[in-house]
Amino acid sequence: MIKRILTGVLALVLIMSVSEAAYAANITTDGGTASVPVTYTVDNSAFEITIPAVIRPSDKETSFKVGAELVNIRPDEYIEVSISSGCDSRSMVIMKRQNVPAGKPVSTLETQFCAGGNPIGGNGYIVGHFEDGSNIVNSIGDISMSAVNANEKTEAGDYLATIEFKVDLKKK
Amino acid sequence: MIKKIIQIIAAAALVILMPVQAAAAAYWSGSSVYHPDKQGVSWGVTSDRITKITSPGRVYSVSDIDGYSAYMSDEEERIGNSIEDSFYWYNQSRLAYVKLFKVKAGSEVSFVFSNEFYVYCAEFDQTFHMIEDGDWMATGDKCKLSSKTAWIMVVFRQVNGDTSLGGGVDTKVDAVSIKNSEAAYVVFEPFKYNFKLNGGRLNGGAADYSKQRLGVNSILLDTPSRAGYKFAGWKADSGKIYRNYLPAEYDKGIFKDTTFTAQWTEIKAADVSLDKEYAIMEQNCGDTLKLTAKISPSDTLDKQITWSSSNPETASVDENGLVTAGITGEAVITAAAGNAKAECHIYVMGFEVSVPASCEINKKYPIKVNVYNNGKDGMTGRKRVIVDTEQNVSVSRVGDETVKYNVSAEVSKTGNGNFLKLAEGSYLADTTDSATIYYRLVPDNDINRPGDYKGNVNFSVLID
Repeated sequence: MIKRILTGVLALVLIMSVSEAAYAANITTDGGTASVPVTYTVDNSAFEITIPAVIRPSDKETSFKVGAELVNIRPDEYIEVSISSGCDSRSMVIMKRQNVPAGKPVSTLETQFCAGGNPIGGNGYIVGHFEDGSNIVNSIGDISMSAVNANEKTEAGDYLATIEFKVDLKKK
Repeated sequence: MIKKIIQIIAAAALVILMPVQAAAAAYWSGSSVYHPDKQGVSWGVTSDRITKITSPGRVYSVSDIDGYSAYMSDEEERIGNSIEDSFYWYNQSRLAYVKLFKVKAGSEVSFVFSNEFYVYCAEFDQTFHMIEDGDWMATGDKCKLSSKTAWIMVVFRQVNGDTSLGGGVDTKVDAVSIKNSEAAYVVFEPFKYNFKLNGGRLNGGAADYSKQRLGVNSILLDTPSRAGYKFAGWKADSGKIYRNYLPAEYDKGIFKDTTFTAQWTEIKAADVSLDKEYAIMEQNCGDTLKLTAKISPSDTLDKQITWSSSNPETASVDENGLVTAGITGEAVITAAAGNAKAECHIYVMGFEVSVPASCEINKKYPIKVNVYNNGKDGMTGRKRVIVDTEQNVSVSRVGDETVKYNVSAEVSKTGNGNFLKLAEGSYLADTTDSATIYYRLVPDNDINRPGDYKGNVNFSVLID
């Protein structure tokens, strides 16, 4: 005659701390089966973020995109792209006139970065939010750049500013 | 012709009637002596002279007679229809009578019997000298007596020596049947004793019955039976115990009306056997086993089996031999009846199967099976400890359960050797002894989506 036997109580141990195995004391008398959790962790997060090499504001409002491809991250993580420098608290990017002779004043032009109609400075300068499986989708939306403040008195020349982007893989 | 002396016994009361006062010896022939004693004293015969019987209760046995009977030592001597010949028949039938008849000298006596009947008749003078060693006489025969004949001695036996006829009581040979004779005096007559055998006096287990003994023959008594007892013999009134045989030799304790009482010895259980010398049971699951004891001999009174356990915590036993397993261990169950007993060794097996608290994919885990008290190598009935699990397990990505992977169970005996997929219908472990096997889960395909994966695997233990 075959009898079903319960294998006993199982002690839970954090997976990452398990080096060999943890066992329960299993003096058995009667019962059924023991259900043991099976766990596995894959840490091979990978993604590609595409940032425009050059952004060209104009005398009209324009925009640019931060893209993501091949996003393969944990479901409990997300990718956050933000501007770490080059954008002031007014969400303004100030471009300076290039090649100005030394001793002469340097004129500037400004453009404001907004996302969803709101200046990015109010949202931590975030310009991109990507989740697992959200290839190329920028949940923030396009980053709009306001028309630069140039007029007939603006000195001619090239105006340049440098902004730095930061990419973070964050836990939700 | 008489060659040997015949020993004869007479009842005392009859001797009193004897008219002859024999002061001197009277000879039958040769050295044989045969004479009546003086009046009032019993007769007796020895090998060479008449003996005064001083113990009226004395009787003579077959061996006594054998010693005086020529035919017993020499068959040829028996031929001739002598007195001894009659005693030969006596010896065979145990029913001979010897009677003396007073007759008139020179007269003719005739014999008238109602049936075919023979007597041996010898003539004696007044002093009991035997004048004529007579001959066999049948009904209708006549015998002319000599002028000196005063007595005839008639030896007769049962009809034609038929021993099947009882007691000689039908042999009516008296002065009427022997014409011209007078009073008859019994010299010898067969003994007749009544035996009462109380087979059931003690317990009613055997029937009472009676038996009659005639003459000095040996007697076979029944061997009664009684459930639970062995017959130990018949105890006579004298206290002496006889088996089923009463010897012919004189024994004053039984040569009289006697009551015998059956003696019994209680039959003790000589051996107890059990249908199992050992058994392997399973711990703490209500496992029971019925032991059957056999007592021998089967007719013993010790039919009550007393059951006991050397370790009731491990194996208890009830009054019917039902063994119930308790905790793992060993116990000896004893079945006892009287002084006999038998033992059955009970192994209450236990087991302990250790499985991992959790299983990480691609990692090996020892599955430890500890088996206790599962009998010994070679014993039948050893329990198989079977550890079973699924061949395949599904794991899901935490937070994105639509992503699933299948992982397969693999097993290895050493943990260092090749892991093989758990085959369909196979068990993770199947052992009668303690063992360790190694187990792991391996994904069927690469799991390339980052994240945590979870699933469940079931282990079960079967005892067969």
